[in-house]
Amino acid sequence: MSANARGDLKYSGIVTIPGGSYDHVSLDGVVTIDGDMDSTDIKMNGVFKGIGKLKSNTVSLNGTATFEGIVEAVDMSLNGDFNIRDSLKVDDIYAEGRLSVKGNIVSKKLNMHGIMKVSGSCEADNFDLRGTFTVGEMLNAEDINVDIYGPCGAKEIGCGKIIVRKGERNLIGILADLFSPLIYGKTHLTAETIEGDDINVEHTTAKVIRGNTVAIGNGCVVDLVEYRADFKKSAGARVMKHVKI
Amino acid sequence: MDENLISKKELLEITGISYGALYRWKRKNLIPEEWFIRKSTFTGQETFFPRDKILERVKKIQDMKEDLSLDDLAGVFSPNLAAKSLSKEDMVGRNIVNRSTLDFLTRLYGNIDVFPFEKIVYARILDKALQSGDISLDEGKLMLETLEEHYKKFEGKSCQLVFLRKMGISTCFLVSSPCEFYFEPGARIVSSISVGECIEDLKIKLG
Repeated sequence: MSANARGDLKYSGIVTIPGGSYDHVSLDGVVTIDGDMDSTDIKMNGVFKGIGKLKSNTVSLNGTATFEGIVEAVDMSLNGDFNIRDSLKVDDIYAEGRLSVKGNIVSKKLNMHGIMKVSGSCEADNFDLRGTFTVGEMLNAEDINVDIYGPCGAKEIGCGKIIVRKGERNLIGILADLFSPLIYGKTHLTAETIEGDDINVEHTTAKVIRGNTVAIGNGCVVDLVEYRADFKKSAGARVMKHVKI
Repeated sequence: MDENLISKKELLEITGISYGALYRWKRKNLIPEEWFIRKSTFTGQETFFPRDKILERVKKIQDMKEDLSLDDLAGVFSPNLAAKSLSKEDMVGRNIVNRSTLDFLTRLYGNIDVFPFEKIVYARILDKALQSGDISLDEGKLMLETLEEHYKKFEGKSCQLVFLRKMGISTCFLVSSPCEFYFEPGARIVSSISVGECIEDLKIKLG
């Protein structure tokens, strides 16, 4: 990305700006970006609406943003609610709050605290999440490490290594559970198939789990486990059938 | 159709690769998304692959991953043009095209000293078609013109060059692959060349 000869952009207030190509962009307030935006870095504080694409080396957001087009970045840090009606391509993303993507996520390092929703598939080298996630198609990652705090789901999961744990709750969390019966007891991951080299899951329902070493922990319901090297099942898990292949 | 497919389980058994490796290669686009064919079976959803293509691809990856990183490998398998060029003499010397094809190219384009990668690809495809004896020199010219004009429009998608003949009249066209096409009975497919495979071969050859 060539940054020379590009100007900076700084706005506060309630404005509509056209897109364009910039070096440093800093926006505060309620901003509509009425076109494609291309920048070296962009800082957004407030409420944002993007009609086009967003492309920037670094993106930081505090607040709420909705983008209609593809969002591409090297580094992203989000705090709040980020909504993308297309796909997200990012090397390194750290997000707190809510991230929802209509298309696919292609990333290297994804670190999320909160709620993640992807309608397509999600790719990452490292997938770290505390909270809940739903992936419409496939979650494909080298390393998956999730602490689940509510209902989660993916159609398929393919990985090198996966660890799924039920998140630790503090007192407030437990009380909140008691008073919200919809979520209570639904801290659970549902997938059709999970395949990987090293699988270690808790509170998971799956039709098939295939792997090299498979450990099925408490609260799991699995129809079929196929393993090559090692299979462990804790007392609190239900596995209909397991075969060594 | 069915006997040309291989299930994921069988693939892992034959090749000895792990689930992790398969998914890693998919993420790096070493194995194209189109090759993952999902089908319902009595055990639920299963994934199948086109047998010959996937076995060949896995073998290539296994052979080359000692020397190249996965990202470099992804470059080899992508249908994007590489940034390489060859001198006129190397084109023949390294067996990309034979002498008579080169002469034909020289007559067409005038003297070219350095071939950029796209020209190498077009020359290679022309050479393949001419050597097989399926097409004549005039038809070769047609083929080159088609490639020159339209190949770039595929922008990194893999495509196929199809050469058709009916009652002595020939025509050729580019289609994105995989793609099915059917013709009236009088027409005959004379030659069908996968441009993606050509590029892949060349990238490996030119290292």
